[in-house]
Amino acid sequence: MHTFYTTIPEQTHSWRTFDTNSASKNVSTPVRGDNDFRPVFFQLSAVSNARGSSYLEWGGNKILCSVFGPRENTLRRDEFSIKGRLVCEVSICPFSIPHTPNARQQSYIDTDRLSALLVSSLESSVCIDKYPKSQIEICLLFIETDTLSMSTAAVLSASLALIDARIEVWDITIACSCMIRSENSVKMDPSWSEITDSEYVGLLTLFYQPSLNVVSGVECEGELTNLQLVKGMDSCIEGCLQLKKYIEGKLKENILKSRAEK
Amino acid sequence: MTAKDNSDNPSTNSVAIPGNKVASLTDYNPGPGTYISGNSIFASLSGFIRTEPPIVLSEADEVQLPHIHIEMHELEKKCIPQSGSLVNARVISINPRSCKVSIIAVDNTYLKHTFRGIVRKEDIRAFQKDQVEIDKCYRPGDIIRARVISLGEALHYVLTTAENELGVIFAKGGTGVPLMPYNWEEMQCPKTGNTEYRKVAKVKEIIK
Repeated sequence: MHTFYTTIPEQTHSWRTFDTNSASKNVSTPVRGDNDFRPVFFQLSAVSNARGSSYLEWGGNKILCSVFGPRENTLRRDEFSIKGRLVCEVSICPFSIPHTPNARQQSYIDTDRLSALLVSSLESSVCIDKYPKSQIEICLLFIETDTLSMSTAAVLSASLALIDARIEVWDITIACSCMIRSENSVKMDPSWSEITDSEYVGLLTLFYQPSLNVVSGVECEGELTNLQLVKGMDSCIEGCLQLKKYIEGKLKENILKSRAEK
Repeated sequence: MTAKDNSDNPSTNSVAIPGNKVASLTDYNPGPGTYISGNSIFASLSGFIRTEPPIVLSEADEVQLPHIHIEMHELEKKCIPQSGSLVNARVISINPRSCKVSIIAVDNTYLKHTFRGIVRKEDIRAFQKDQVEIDKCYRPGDIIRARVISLGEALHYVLTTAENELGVIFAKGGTGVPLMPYNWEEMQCPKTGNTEYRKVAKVKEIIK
């Protein structure tokens, strides 16, 4: 039913190959400050036959996430458990990845790693004990990706889809990444062009539940000193709080708007 | 960042998203869609915050707190069977000891995904439990109304029909015509007049 692509079939091409419009190629990206995020856009209830879904655009990522269930546990060998189970499936469109991914980009395109990451970072926020014996399925589809910030965008879209599906959660899970430079300065939400910087030391990704004040996951790349790690985590938490404020406002606006339409 | 002191705008104050502090435990009792952490009530669903006056049972009681909850949609009211809930189920297979069913509705809410259930021989009826023959009670394809006794083991929910109101509510006879209830253990085919054995439910309300 579901097909997973970890490498690109030869027949498919990235849409960028056909993009002959020179203007769009030389789009000058506006200069961002170190604490600025790339624009985030999301929409809820994008998939009609899922219980809840979200569409998220963040940086170079376009993600469609849908939530199904709670349905019967399909894992037959499981023992009885009063708690529910969270299942994630990540699939990547073959045309979504840059046509010739380099070794580093290739290492990020790992659906198994991403789905394990999603389960571990979201499991602590979902009230799984309210859904005994059943499983909640999260299906994620990358329509476009820059491969760098896949995990942050994936976790954010999944947590938005869970809220749209009205699955009970303790808190919204926000993800945020930052690049650490050699002189201990930090750049939030880096893109590929910024990460190839000569001062690059490491990349830190953090999953955070702001109201509970819980860090549900950390991904770290590169060799970081203690000081750099602490600084990176602090600024990631700060970034998550900033993002949460924006997302909270948008979600509340959505609820009020849907009521006004009725 | 509580819902109370977030802004002066009253419209956003009445809306919560998961993780928002809804109220203090000293002012309200938590209802559906909320959870308690420390001394506060937090939202676990997104939606409008609703309050309900306390239920006063007797005047001698101490002062009850009003309830606070998140407005529910039809969707999350009853989506999984719990022990004690009334379910409608389709009989899948029968064997001399038990009968396997798939649950299609919980408390009159139609389910998108079915759950597996089992009715053991001794739970089929309350009267003359030891003389029950399963093939005289249920046939594959029947729709039964049952009550969940327990969540059971890993696979099945354990159901019972040992009540007058529980049992077969819809069945087709040998000719494919829906049977009419005849008495509590027989159903009659309106076309041929033949009777077939079933554990018939005494349906009081009309099930939507």
